[in-house]
Amino acid sequence: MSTLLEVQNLSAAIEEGELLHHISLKINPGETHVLMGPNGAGKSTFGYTLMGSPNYKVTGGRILFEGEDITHLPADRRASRGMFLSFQNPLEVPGLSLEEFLRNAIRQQTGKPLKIFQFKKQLESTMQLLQMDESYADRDLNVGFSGGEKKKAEILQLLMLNPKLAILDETDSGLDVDAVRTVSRGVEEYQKQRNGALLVITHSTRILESLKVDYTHILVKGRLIVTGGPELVEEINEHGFEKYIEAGQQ
Amino acid sequence: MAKQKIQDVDRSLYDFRDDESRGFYRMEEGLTEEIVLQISREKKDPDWMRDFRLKCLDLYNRMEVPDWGPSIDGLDMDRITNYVRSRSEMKGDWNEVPDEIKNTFEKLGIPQAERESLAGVGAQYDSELVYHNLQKEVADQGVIYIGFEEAVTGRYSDMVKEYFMKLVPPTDHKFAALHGAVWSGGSFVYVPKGVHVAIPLQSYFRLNARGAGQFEHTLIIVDEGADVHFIEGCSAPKYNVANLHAGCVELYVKRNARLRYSTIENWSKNMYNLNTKRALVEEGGTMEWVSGSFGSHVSYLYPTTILKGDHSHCEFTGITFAGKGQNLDTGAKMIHIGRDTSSYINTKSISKDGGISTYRSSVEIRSTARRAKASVDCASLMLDDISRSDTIPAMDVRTPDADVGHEAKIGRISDEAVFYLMSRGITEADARAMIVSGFADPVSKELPLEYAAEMNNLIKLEMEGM
Amino acid sequence: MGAMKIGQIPSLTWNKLDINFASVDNPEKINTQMETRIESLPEGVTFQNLSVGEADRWIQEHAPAQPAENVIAGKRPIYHPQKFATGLGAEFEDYLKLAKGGTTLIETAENVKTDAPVTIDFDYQSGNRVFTRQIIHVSRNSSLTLILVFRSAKDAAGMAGIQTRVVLDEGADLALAGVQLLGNGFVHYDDLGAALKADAGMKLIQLELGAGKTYTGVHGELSGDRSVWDSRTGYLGQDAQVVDLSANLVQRGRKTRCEMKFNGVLDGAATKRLSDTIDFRRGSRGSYGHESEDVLLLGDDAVNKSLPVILCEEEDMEGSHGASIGRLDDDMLFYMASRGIDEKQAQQIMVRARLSAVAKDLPDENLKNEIHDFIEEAFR
Repeated sequence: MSTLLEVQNLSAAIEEGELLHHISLKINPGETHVLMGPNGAGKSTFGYTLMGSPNYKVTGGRILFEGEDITHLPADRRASRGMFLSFQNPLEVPGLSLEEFLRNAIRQQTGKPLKIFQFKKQLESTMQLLQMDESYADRDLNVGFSGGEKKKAEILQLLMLNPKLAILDETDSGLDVDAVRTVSRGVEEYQKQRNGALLVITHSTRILESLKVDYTHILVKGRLIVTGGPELVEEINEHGFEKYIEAGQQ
Repeated sequence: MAKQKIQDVDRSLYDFRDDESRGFYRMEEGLTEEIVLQISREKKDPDWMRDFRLKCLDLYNRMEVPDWGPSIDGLDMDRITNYVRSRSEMKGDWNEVPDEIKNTFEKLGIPQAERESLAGVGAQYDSELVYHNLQKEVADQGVIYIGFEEAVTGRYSDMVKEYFMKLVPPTDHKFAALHGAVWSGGSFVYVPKGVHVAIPLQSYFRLNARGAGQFEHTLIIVDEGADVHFIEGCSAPKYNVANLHAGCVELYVKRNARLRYSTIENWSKNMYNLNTKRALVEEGGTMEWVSGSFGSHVSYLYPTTILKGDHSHCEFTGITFAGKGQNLDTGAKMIHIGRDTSSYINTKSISKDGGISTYRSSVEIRSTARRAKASVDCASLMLDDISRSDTIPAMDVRTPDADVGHEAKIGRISDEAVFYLMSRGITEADARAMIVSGFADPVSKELPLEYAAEMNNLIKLEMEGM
Repeated sequence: MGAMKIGQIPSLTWNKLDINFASVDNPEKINTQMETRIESLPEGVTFQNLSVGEADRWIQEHAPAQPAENVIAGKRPIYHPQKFATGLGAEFEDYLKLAKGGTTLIETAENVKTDAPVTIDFDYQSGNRVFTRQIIHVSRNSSLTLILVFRSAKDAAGMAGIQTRVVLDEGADLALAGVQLLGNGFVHYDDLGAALKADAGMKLIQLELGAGKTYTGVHGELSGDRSVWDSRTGYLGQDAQVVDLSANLVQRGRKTRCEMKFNGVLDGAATKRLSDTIDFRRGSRGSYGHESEDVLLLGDDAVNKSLPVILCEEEDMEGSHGASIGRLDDDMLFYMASRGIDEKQAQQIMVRARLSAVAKDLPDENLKNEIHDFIEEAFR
């Protein structure tokens, strides 16, 4: 099985200074990776850098996707290769319905005309799965959505766009128990659907309860301190990050 | 909730006046070529300056008063004595300043402020500078801070000629032309390359004579990489006759230099304040304005910043408090020419007791100003229903990758906020005063301490006495 | 006739900015008369043609009770000397006097609620220089929806003008939409004056998508307590198009509400001026007014001028304004890109989104599709 994502010695910076230092990791198809760390460790920065956010500049290292160097590709080209990033704060677009947005995205990613009937059916069933009222399809993208509805709309896009690798940035933050369950159901569905790989960025462990985790990475002050198995999640649950914060200072 | 009565400010601090009959020289009222030539002779102007004055007089006579903004019909130009000066010569030692003038400034606390926290002080009394002093350490750094007449006639005259009324040309508007014709007094400041002046320079203007005009000229050049803070304070006692202030401030901020220009204006409420202030900022330079307008009957005041150099930046912070009988039209203008320039305007205005405050601004992003960023934030507070508050912000954007944001808000003190404070044991009057101070806070915290104290004092006076 | 000043703001600012009004040099002579024909009207709605004299009398009689001020707050010179003010103002009114022909009066009886919209199609031919005048009177507790569509062939040239006066009695509601899809050779004038009595509601949708030059002016008097104004304007400027918009809302009644939104796209060397004013008069206690503007700049030579004014002489009110002018922000582009949408496509999506947000509430699917196609065509 060939590697899906390979990050080699990656460093990234903003104007004020470097935020990520020499990070390396590998993700194979179908694997679930968890990236944990205390607040301000650079977890979201890592996710945004993988997706090619212009806010962060890669200052060293490479990102390979299916063996090809994508370090300098714009975000839309990364998306069409099969990467997806769920946003913590998805943007609002008045005048553009969620459905229209999805159609546009799918058309651009595939470069083919959309099969409307099939699309409609899939949209309907996916919304059902996520317990979203079907009126959301016609509502303006993220406009007036509650925090939970925005998160669901991101997972809806994940399922409709069906990428090879999904990076979920704090998808569980600010959600109540029921909403976390619904979102988790969506993520499980994604894994089933196409053996999708996941990189779950989180500082809590709630969303992980229903997922089978393969690897856990701990990021402290922009450095990947340790990589382990699912047992690391348990450990963090019990003891927190302190041990690793100390390690990060050495 | 019961309405409180908000009293007029106690102006006794500013309203004392000197006995004018003793020792003052008055010119005939009105403006003629003869008067302008007389001023020029008095000043021992070089020829170029005399010719310039006459050219300005001609422009002044041909130009119209503005057809927008507050009415200035109450200002009869023929009755303004355009030039009044005391007999005293400029002094470098405070003890030599005549007692009656000295008393005026002592009451305003100027020498005291100098002793405490200023690098240099200039004091202008009516049309002439009466006192000028610069600390030795600052002078040793090569900083020049002298009276404007001295600058015109002395060893810096070439430099003055190069910069004088180039940024504010007399063709700009009628009162710029008037200024050019009759300017008198003011300061010239030069900060050499790389010099950081650690403590502020200050200039204080006092208009004491009845029915007079004050037309001081301030020219500041901050050379490359230099840094200075200049403070200007203005006051005048109250007379029943209109006074006119038509000063002119020209500021040059060279590459990577920084200038902060703070003003607290508290002219008496018979003053027509038609002042023109403009700054030109070169590459990487920073201009910061802090402006408080409390006095005057009518004000037209819109400091302008031309962001000519790439990456130049300007911040304008202002507050205007219009009370009874006041029509204060204030704001700022930003002209973006260089790439990656940025500006931020943040203003507050308060209207009470029939006062009228108008926030007026313009933000221009020229087509050369690629990636320019501008943001405007203005808030107005209405304290009663006999006052007035207008917001007139213009924007002209000519480059597609600009980013221009604008927000304006107008409202009153919320009953809920007053109730909240009262529920914690604060009286209604104090609660309202606290809310107004809080509203003004972003501005007062930009001021040097003694000025912030003066401003808070002014707000407190305005809000006191229910 | 020399230069005609139209769409003047109520409180002038620096003349150098060239933003106080629009100036039309030597406006062309009016050469065509056009009669409005309406195929069918809902029950309770009538339609008649008034002569010039009859129309004048009607307008005088129904003008808002408060006289138009000439001076506000010691500033000068202010309101148009029209008895029943319109947005484009007195000089435009004088110009219209050159047009012969009557005025259409569309009127409802009391307590008539109509569901189906009434659509009036204005189809112009090349060479037409036409003005239409109309009065819309919605009586007590009635409601009416009226859609005006201005069309011509794509390559046609001419002048198409309309002046509308609206009188809404107590509790009356009017939804008025103007959709302008004219060819690039047309000059379009749209002049509106509205008077709202207590509990009246006006919803205005304006879409200015075609015409080489567009001048719209709105003057609304919220005289009645609790009257409500809600307007949305969308425009598209390309090449050398000129879009000139002015709106002046006067809030006099208690607890009035006013919401104005402007959404536009400027491409090529298009120029646009917007002056929009909310004017809280003394006594408008408990009123609320908000104006917002969003301009997407695409063209290197586009010029955007904005003058959002708030005038206020009442303490108990809440007024605000927000504007955002520029290109698409980086965060939005990145969000779109993360879903596989490139910059060019993202721009087109945003152009459509902005204008659809305005068209959204039009109660006519076919018209919405026509608008959609017009925009697609424009960006082809």
